[in-house]
Parts: sequence; C-alpha cells; structure tokens
Amino acid sequence: MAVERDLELLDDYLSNRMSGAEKEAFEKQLDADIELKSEYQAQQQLIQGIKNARAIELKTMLKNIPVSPSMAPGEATLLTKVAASLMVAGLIGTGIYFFLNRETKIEQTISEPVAQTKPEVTEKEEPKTTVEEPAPKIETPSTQALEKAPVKEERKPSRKVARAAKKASKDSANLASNQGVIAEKRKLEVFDPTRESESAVKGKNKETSSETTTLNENSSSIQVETDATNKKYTFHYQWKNGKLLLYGSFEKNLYEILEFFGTDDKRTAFLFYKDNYYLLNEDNEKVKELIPITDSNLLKKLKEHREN
Amino acid sequence: MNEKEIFERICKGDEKALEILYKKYYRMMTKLVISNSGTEEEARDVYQDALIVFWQKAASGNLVLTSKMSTFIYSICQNLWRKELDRKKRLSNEEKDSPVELDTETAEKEKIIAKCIDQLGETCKKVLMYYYFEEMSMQDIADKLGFANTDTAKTKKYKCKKKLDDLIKAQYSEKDFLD
Repeated sequence: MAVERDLELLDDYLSNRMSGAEKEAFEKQLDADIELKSEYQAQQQLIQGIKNARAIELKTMLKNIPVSPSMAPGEATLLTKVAASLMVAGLIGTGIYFFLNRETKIEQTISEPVAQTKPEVTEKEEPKTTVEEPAPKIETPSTQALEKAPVKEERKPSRKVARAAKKASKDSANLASNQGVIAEKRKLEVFDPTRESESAVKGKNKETSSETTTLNENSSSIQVETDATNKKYTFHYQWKNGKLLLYGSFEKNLYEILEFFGTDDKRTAFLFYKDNYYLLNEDNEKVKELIPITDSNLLKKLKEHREN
Repeated sequence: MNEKEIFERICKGDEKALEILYKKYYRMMTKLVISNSGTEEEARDVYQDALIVFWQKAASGNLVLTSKMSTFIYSICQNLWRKELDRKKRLSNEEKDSPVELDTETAEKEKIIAKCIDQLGETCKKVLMYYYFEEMSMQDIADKLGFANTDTAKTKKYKCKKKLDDLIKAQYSEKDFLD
C-alpha cells in the first residue's frame, strides 16, 4: 500500500501543483512503484470526474444565458444606425444637388415642349405572387431625413406623370379640367380585374404599343407593378431595375406617381395615394416603408403641381 | 466593463464576468463555426466549450495573455471546431467500415464517479471543483467560500476528497459483489 506521503505527492502531481524537477522525480517513482501506479490511475479517473462535473456545471450556466440567435444585441442597432446615416447623407446630397441646380431648372421647365408634360400610358399591372429577392431588408427612413431633402427639391418639377391603377390619363390638361370625371372613370376601370390583365397582355400588341412608343419617345416612364399578396410588406415600395414595385392593395384606390427632374435628368418621384404624398427614394433597391410626407411647405407645392 | 476588467475578474473566478464575456463575443465566435459549415447549435456548443477552456486557464492563474482576449478565444474556437470536423469525418468513415467499440468498463466507472460527486454536499463539491478544475490556491478557495483561513480550506479539501474516495470504493465493492 502506498504511504500517505506518496498519496499527497500524487495529488499534487495530478492537480498540476508540482515544479518541473518535482514532476520528473515523481514520474520516476511512479514508474518504479506498481502499486502507486495503480493508485495513480484510479485517482486520475476520479479527478477527471470532478473536472467533468465542473465543466458540465459551467456549460449549463452558459447555456442558460439568453442570447439572440441571429443577431447579438447592439449589432442590430448599429446596422440601423448605419443604414439611417447613409439614408440621411443620400437625401441631403440630393437636396443640395437640386438646390444648386434649381435656378437653371426653372428656366428649362418653361422652355420644355408640351409633349413632355404629357403623362404616358405604359403602366401595366399584374398582381405579383412572388418577390424575386428573398426577404429584402426594410429600410425605414427617419421622418426627419425624409422631410429635409424634398423641401429643397420642391421648386423644380418639370414633368408630371399621373397614373391610375389601370391606365394613366392621356392628357394632363384634361386631368386638370376634368379631374372629377377622370377620377371616377379610373375607379370604374379599376374594379374590373379581368380587363386589367387583358390590357397588360395587350401591351404587347401592335394597336396599343404604337401609342406607347410615341409617348415613350417624349418622356421617360416609370413602370409600376403592384403586389397585394406579400404578407410581410403591406404598404411598402421598392425600386427594382428601374421599375417601381408597390406592395399593398393599391388596386382598390386611385394612385398617382409624380415625377420631378433635375438638370441632368435625375429624377425624384412621389406617390399620391388616398390624400397623402409619399417620397419614393431611388437611392437603392431595398424595400422601404411608405411614410406620408408631413412637411406642410412640401405638401403645398406637391398639391399645387398635382392640381395644375 | 472593458476587456482588461473582464479578464481580471475572470482570473479571480468571477462567474458574472464570464457571463458578460459570453454575451460580448457570442456573435463573433459563433459566426466562425456557422460560416464553416456548422449549425447555430454546433457554433454555440463550440463557443461554450472554448470559453470553459479559457476560464480554466485564466482562473488557474497560468494564463498570460500576449494577444487580445478575443483573439485568444477565437483561436480556441478554431481548434475545437477543427477537431469536431475531424471527429465527424472519422465517424462517418467508421460507420462504413465497422461498428465503434465502446469501452464499457471505463464508461461504467465514470458513471459511478459522477454519481458519487453528486452525493457530496454543495460546499464539498465546490472545494474539490475549485481545487482540481480551476486549480485555485487555498487562499482563493478560502476567500470564495468564506472559510476563516487557508488551513480550514486545506482541511476541508482533504476531508471532502476522503469522503469521495470512500463513496467510490463503496460503490465499487457493491458492484463487485453483484458481479
């Protein structure tokens, strides 16, 4: 039987409490003493058991710490902050650009041919069932940023494109004088979804395309699609390959897209829907929430332009 | 709390600091595994094991950090995940060749030891765990568990270890008798 002193040394050896020289000496002793070696094996297993029990205890403690699986706290807010700053910077940049160019723009607006003020008729509307990009990120612009930039843009509208859910009006003069009638007419058309899809198909036919082509020569067009089936986005918009995608049940009501152009044809677009105006920010192709413009000055200007 | 403070508290065996550390680097460390064909669960497992290794080294006072704490933990995660990938690969090969033979005797002994540890009182368990796992000094154990001095800690450790030895011996003889 191993003596008490040897067992103490064994315990020091196993608990890593020996210096290099002591270790070496003890290992020699261990090799020579079979009984001690057998005790060593038993004690090693026991100490390993204690270590395992402690590791399990610590692991259980760590497992019980709540951590969000997909995103650690702090990171989400950081991302939002970065996105918001980019957005603000973009809007301010656009604002400054338009502000600097506004004088020239007014002149241009006056000299622009009548044909350019014509709204065009290329809108097609097919309810989309799938979104091509899997779960695009929503970017919610801060209201402050949203209101800031457009105020500076307000004075240079050159062109206006009015659209109804099915067809846009063909003449802006008609739109101005017979607003009520046209609105009523559009609403009537909207309620017939069969005709909508027919007209979308017909868009390819020669009869309709001749008219569309002529109009396209004179004015750039915004192609609009609406998607009422998306569960995640119920009142959002997205620019995709130059096309505007509106998420929500827009076909039920009248909506209009208002376009404003800077000197180099940089476009700023607004949506008019149910008595509210919304900025359609074209900075990126992310899905963004539609937030009504609240700035009274900008609203006044937009209203004026829509009615004229 | 900054990195230095966290590290100092971990060296003293402060479990609260370990919790803070766990949250702090959770995303960074789990991303390593997830982006290397691991699941979220595997990532969490590897990160937890890596932190336990780190904790053990730091609490024993044997760790001198020559890099950032995060870099050190990251490298432990890398090693552990590499080992796990190797193990998985080996396992899938073995499955094709022959069934794995388990050392039932060792497994049985481990079971008995775990059972006996469980039978110890809370203080006894802690004394032995701090002594053998964290490799804390008798002074640190006395401080942590509120013993009067190191002598009390030494005596306590000796008695608890003796108790565990006896429990295990009793279990073994019972088992031999049944066999």
